Amino acid sequence: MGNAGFEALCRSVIESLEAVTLETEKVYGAMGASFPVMVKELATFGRQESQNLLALLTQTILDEVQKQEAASEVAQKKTQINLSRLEAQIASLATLRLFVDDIREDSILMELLSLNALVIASKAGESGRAFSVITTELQQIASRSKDLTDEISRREANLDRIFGEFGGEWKKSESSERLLLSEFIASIRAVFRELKSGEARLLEGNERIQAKAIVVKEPLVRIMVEVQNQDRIRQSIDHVTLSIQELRGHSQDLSLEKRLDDLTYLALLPDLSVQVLDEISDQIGENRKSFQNSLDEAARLMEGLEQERRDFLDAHVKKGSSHGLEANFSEGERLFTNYFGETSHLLRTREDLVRKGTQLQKNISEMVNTLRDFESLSASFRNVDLASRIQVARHHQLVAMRDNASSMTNLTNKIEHDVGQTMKMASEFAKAILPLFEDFRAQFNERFQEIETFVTLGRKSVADVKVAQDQLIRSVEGTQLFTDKFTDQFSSTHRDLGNLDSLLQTIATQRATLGSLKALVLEEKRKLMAEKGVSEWKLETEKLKAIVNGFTIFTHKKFLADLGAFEVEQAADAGEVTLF
Amino acid sequence: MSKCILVVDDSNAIRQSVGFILEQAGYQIISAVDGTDAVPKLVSQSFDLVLTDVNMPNMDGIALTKHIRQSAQNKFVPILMLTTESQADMMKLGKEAGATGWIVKPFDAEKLLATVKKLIG
Repeated sequence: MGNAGFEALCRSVIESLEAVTLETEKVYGAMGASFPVMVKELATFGRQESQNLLALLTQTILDEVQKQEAASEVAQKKTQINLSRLEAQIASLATLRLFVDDIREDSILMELLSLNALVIASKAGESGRAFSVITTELQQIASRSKDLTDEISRREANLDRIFGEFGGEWKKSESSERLLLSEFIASIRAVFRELKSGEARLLEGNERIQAKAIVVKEPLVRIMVEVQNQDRIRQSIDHVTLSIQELRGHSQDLSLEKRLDDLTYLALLPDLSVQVLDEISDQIGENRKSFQNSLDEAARLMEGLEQERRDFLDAHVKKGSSHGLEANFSEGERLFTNYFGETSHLLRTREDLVRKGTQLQKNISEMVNTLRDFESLSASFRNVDLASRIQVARHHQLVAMRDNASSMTNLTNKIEHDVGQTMKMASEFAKAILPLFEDFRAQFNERFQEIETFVTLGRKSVADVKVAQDQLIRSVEGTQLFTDKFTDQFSSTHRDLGNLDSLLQTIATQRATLGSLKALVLEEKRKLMAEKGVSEWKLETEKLKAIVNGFTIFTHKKFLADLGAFEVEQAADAGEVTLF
Repeated sequence: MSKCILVVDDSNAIRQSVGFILEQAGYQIISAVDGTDAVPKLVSQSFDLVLTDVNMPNMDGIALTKHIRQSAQNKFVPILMLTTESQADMMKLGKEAGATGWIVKPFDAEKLLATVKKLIG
C-alpha cells in the first residue's frame, strides 16, 4: 500500500469523526438549549389572574335585589297603614248609614202623620182646607225624603262595597308582589350562587389542569441529564482520532525492526477505535431511545392533559351541560324576565286601582251632593211644621191635630238633627278619604319608580353578566395549556432525534473503514515479517502506555492495556462522588 | 439570595446539563469554557462553589484549582472536580491542588445535587 493512500484514508476517517463530533454537539446542544426554555415555559404559561368578574357582577345584582326586598317591606308597612285608615273610613260609613236609616224611618212616620192630618183636615171642613194643603205638601216632602234616603243608602252601600274591593285588591296585589319578589329572590340567589360557584369551579379547574402541566417537566429533565453524554461521545471520538493520528505517524524511512514495531502497535489501534465507535454508537443509540421514550412520555402527558381540559370545558362551559355556566345564566335570565313580566302585570293592576280610587272620589262627591238635598228637605219640613202649627192655633176645629202637630215638630227636629249629623259625617268622611287616596296614588308612584329603576338596573346587570360570562368562557377556552413557543420547541426536538439516526449511519461507515485500515496495516506487517524471516513480532508496550495516558475514559484505557498485556489502575465508577 | 456556582467545562453539553440541573434546584449559575475563561470571572465576583472539569484546553481544572487556592478572592471556596477521569492518581492530583471533591462523569443528577447541597446548602 502506498503511504499517500494510507494517509488519505486516515484523514478521511478523522474528518468524518470530527464531523460526527460537530453533529453530536449540534444535536445535543440544540436539545440542551431548548429544554430549559420549555421547562421555563411550563412554569410560567397559563398563569392568568382570575378576575372572578361574574362573582362581582352577580353580587351587585344580589345587592340590588336585597334593596328591592327592603323597599318592598317599607311599601308593605305603608300599605298596612293606609289600609287601616281605609278600614276606619269604611267603618265610619256604618254610622252614617244608621243616621240615614233614622231619617228614613222618620220620613215614613212623617208620611203617616201627614195621612192622619189629612183625615182630620177633611173632617174640619172649610177650616181644614188650608191645613189640608199643608198636609198634602208634608206627604210629598216625606215621600221625597224617604226616596232620598234610599238613594243615599244605595250610594253608601255601593261605596262600602267598592272600598272593600279596593282595599282587598290592593292588599292582594301587594301580597302577590311580595310573594313574587320572595320567590324571585330565593330562586335568583340560588341560580347566581350556582353561577358564582360555576365561575369559581371553572377558574379553579382550569388552573388545576394548568398546574398539572408541570408533570411534563419530569421527562424533559431526564433528557437534560442525558445531554451530558455528548461530552463522553466527544471524548471517545477524541480517543479514536488520537489513535488514528498515531497511524498517520507511520514512516517508511525507519529500519525494518522499527517499522515492524510501529506496524504491530498500529495494528491494535483500529480495534481500539472500533471498540470506541461501538461504545459511541451504543451511547447515541441509548440516548436516542431514551430521548424518544421521554419525549413520547411527555407527548402522552400533554395529550392526556389536553383531553382532560377538553372534557372539563365540555362539562362546565358548553351549552346543554348540567354544570354549564350558560345553563345557569339562561335560568337566571328566565327568572328575571318572568319577574319583570309578572311585576309589570301587578303594577298595571295597581294602576287600575289608583284609577278606581279617582272614580271613588267622584262617587263620594256625588253622595255628599245628594246629602245636600236633605238640607233643603229639612228646611221644607221646618216650614210645613211652622205652617201646620199656625193653622192648628188659628182653627179650634183642628184641635184634634195638636198631638199630631207636636209629633210633627219633634220629628222635624229629629230629622233636622240627623240631617245635620249626616252632613257633618259625610263632610268629614270626604275630607279624610280624599288625602288617603292621594297617599295610595303616591305610594303607587313611589313603588312604580322603585321597580322601574330595579328593572332597568336588572336588565343592564343581566346584560353585563352575559358579557362577563362570554368573556370568561372565551378566556378559559382560549387559554393554552402549552404555548406555541413550547410546542414549537417540542416539535423541533423530535426533529433532532432524526439527526441522531444519520450520525449512527456515519459511525457505522467509519467503523467499516477502520477494518480496512487494519487490514492494510496487517498486510504490510506480514510483508515485513517475511522480509525479516520471522513469523511473529512482539508489541512494544511503552508506546501503548503513552497513548493510554492520553485517554480520559477508563474503559478505553483498559481496552488498550489488555491489548498490550499490561495493567491499568482500577478506577472509580461513573457518577461516583469522592469528598476529600 | 440564591447561592452562586461557577461551572467550568469545555463541553457545551456539560455546561448546559449541569447548569440546568443546578438552576432547577435554585442555584445561580455562571459558566466558563475553561480555566482561562474562569479566572477573570473569579476576580470579578465571589462564588459559593466552583464545579470544574479536569481536561480542558488553555488552563485545565487542576491548574485552575491551584490558581484559586493561591488567590485572595474565593480562596476558601469549595471546588468540585467533575470529570471522566476516574483513576486514583488523577484524584490525588486534584486533592493536592486543593479540590474539595471529585465526581466522575457521567454524573448522577441526584448525587450531584446532594453533594452541592452538602457543601453549600
